[in-house]
Amino acid sequence: MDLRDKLRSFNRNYSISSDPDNRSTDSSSLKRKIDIEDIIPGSYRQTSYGSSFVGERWFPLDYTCGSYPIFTGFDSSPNQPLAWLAKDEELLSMDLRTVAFLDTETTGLAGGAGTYVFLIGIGYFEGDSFKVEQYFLRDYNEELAMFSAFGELLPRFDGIVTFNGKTFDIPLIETRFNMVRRDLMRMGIETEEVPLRDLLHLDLLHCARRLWKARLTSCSLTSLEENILGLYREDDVPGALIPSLYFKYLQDEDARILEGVFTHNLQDILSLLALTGRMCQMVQNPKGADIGEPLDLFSLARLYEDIGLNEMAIETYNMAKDRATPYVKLEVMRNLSFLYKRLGAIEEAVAIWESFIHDGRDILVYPYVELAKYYEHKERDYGKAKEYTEGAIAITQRFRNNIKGSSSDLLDLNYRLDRLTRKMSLAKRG
Amino acid sequence: MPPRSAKYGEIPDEIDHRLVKALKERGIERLYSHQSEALKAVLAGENIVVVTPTASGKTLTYNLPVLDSILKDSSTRAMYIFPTKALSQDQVTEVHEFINTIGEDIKTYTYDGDTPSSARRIIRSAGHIIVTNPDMLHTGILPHHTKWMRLFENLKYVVVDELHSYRGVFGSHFANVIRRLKRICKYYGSSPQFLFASATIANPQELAARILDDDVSCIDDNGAPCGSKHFIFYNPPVVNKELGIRRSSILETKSIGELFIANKVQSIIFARSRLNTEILLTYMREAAKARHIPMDAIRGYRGGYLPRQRREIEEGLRKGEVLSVVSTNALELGIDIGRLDVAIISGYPGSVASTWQQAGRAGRRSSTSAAILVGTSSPLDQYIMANPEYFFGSSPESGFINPDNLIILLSHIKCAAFELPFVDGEKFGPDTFIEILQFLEEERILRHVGGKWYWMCEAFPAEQISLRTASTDNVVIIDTTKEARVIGEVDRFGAFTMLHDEAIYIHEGQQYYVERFDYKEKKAYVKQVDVDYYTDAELAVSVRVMDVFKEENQESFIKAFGEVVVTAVPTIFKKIKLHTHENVGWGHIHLPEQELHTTAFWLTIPEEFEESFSKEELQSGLLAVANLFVNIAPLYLMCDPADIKVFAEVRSPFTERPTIYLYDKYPGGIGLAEKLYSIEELLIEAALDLTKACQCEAGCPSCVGPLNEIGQSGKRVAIALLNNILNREDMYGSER
Repeated sequence: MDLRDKLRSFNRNYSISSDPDNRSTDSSSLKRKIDIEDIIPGSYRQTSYGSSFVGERWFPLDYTCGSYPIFTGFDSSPNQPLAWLAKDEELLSMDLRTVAFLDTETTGLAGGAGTYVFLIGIGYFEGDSFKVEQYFLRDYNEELAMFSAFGELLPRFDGIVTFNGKTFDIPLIETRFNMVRRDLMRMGIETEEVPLRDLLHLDLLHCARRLWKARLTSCSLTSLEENILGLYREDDVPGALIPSLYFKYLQDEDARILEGVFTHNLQDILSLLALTGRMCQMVQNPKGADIGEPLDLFSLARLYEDIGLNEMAIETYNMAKDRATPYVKLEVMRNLSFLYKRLGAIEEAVAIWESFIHDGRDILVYPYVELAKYYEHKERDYGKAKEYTEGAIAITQRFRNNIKGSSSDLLDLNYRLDRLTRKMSLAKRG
Repeated sequence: MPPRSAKYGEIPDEIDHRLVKALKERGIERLYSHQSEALKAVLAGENIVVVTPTASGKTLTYNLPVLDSILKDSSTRAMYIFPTKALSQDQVTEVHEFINTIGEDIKTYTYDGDTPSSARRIIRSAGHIIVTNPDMLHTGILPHHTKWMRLFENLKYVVVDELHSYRGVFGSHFANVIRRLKRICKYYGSSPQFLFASATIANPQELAARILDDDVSCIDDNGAPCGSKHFIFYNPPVVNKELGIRRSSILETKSIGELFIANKVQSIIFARSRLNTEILLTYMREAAKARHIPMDAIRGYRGGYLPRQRREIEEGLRKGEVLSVVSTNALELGIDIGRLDVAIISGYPGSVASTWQQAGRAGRRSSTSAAILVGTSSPLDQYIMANPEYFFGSSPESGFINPDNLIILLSHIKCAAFELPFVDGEKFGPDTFIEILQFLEEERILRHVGGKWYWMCEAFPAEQISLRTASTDNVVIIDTTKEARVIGEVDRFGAFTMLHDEAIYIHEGQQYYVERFDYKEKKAYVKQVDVDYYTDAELAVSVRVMDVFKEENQESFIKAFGEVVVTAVPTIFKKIKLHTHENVGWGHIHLPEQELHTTAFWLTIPEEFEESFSKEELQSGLLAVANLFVNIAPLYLMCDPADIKVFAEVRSPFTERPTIYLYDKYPGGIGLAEKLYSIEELLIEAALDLTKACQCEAGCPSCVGPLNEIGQSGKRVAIALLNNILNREDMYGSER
């Protein structure tokens, strides 16, 4: 048995081979080669290391993406809301007009030195339009050319906007860049380190989670497109298929199979832009942004509270409260009451807590506890405080089997009760 | 063994004065000769392997040069590789203590599966010494080498401790991981020196050189002192001569252990399984209680104990607070527990090296110590008991690896191509490398373009390749009695006879009924039962010879080595009643045929011999010899008994003669059969010695196998056959 047969039989017996689909087609020599430029509008960029294909498309600023034009919400100081949303002060100096919206397609999702980036899509404003360039790796040996063409474009940007780029796209591009640089070094050519890491970076995934995690079960780009932008992709190439389509293109030398991949990448970039605009709008001016979802308002209010915009927070909690379902309303009121308490507006807080009790919703312990604290320490009305403490104990006991840690809560409450009883008898004696 | 006094060597002048000062602060004024020798060799730029017993100050042989070069140039990086996580923890603690004495900012980090991801970034860029294990290097570091630029650009030393554990399949994988490591280092412009350390094996230098594929200097002249030591072999008395049954080794170990507890002599007891560890621990505690010794002075130690608990026991041993510890082989490896008075080894650990490692736990620097090996009834143990000179004589036991095993090599070529595209003309392993690349291109796993071979696959290859298991597809055993839980794994070949539908599978003494064996999903669903029978599957095995690599016609037999395909089909299973062994039922097994391509050693018996026995006699004789061979072979191969299999045929279709095949159980072979071909005479002699020394009458599990398996004539024919092969006259019958 020769080596080839042995290898084949091992591969068969021990299932260590690759995706069988990858192997199935046999490119016949008769087939005509179809190049990428026959399919995708674009041009070849000449670099010191050969030429590289770049797909090029322009979009007018009123081009719509789902229910929104791609270019909205950039009206006034758009960087501020985004910096709030990303919790990154550095972003205050980022001008969205000079950033790159970036998304890559790769030969795998696992990362590591053997995962190649074969398409880097970059969108940016140029004159009165939004331009998308797609840097394409026609074959593995063109990496040097592709990255030098891409590297030439980079210096014009102050920052980048991605979706999950902090974890995925940027480390991968850096890996490839580093390996390309090392290849050059071996050829005796020293090059600058890639400035990618120094660029300002807005990762929309994290922002999206802050705004929509409460409402949406998934914050994937597809889910955001459908639920936020009202965009439903038709005939979209599923992301999981993309690597094998690229491999098939390499084997068959037929670029037609990649058309959908380019479209997918293009749409990702347009969605990034539209999503950025929508986020700016919402954070900048929740009233004017026509936000119908009370949960979104609730998330926004929490964001404001988090960054210390208390008035905006109170206003937005109130907007959320007015539209919320009864259950969400409870949550909103709770947050609002604690915000009031923290700000020293104790009367407002007390009003909310008392409203819970007067509504007869005897399932929440904390209004009783808070009121007990209030009457004990602020009003020094130990009788009322004792009444509320007893109320809290009653509810806790009723739900003791369902609530975690209720036994320690109960301990605290009984301790409070004892203390109040002591104080009351002291007051009587005094 | 007589006492040995210390031999010293000087600390070379060029060693950093801060290091010399720290050594003195730790009470080390002079180095032992082997430490000094190692240091000089490393300073001269050599790769080294240091082979000295437990607790001889081996770790200093690599810590000194590593710390010295970091002190002189803080950009220097070193990587320490230990076979297990537990060992690396122990070593990190030791290095940390040393660094604290030096008082300089040298950063040592463990990087393994437990390292939190938040800490990884800083470790990758700032760690001077990275402590890891082969699995993490294979899946976590090499495939992500771009994140480790700082390390690979400045890597000066790679330390590989416990070299002896890298043998067989694991060692063959490891050698390929080292090939990949060297390749990445070259890419980043470094060429590290390799510092190996090993327990005593026959061929440390050969093994290290084979793993490294480069020259390695061996340093094995131990300069550490040792008091006198007794090594006692204890064979429990025979209680049933007919069946060859001896008194339980556990009970004997217990009586011996009690003696030392009663006399307050610090001891360690090695048991062969976790279960036996627990049983012996119970016995020892009972013994302690009767003598009013606190329970805490008697401890157990095995995998499954919490790390904190283990550290506590280790410290207790060092301080002398623990009087006796019962352990699995977990304490055999380099964990620091100081030196004890006595080591009791309950059952031969399976290899000479392990035995010496375990025995090495006893041995004071100045006073007398003892190691006691208690034999069990197994053939291996009985052979050792009857032939102590084998054990003490020049050890024939070596660590074997076959880095060029086709499957292992193929796996790592994939990993390496993922890490960096191969360049035309590059080498990786054997000359057939280029053919493998071409094969992978045909399979569309690699793409050859512009003079390079690129990875063209979505998969992350290292994750699909385990360095530890022989076969990539083990069958998982799931107990569904209560909530489903995994209780174990069996290799695919074994699963066919042990886990077929309706089989009774025995795991840690508990019977399980196999409800369903899902062949495709590699899962067996079992339920706990309590029945009075066990099952025994019949496997129709055939061996086809594909290629003969070597063949030699000896006077009285023909030996050969080559490539075979072993085919196995399970046919039926029998239900056999416990104790009485009557057949109480049977059933069909419906499973597809299994094929194993591997290498085999085979021995063919001449015609003349054939004629002097009936076919039945010959059948049982061959079976008996086959059992002997497969039981003894691991002794000489230093492999796990499960790594090698045997098959005997009265008339082999290939040789047309009675033939015994011994084959590697791992696809492609890992060099075991090849080794057997070159030491066949040793094997035959050992088989004969064992059979003759056994006190049973016609065969027993301690020699040729149980009577009900090999028949009444098995032992007699086996002795005749072995004598005949060795050209000896003294037939069994004529002695009487």
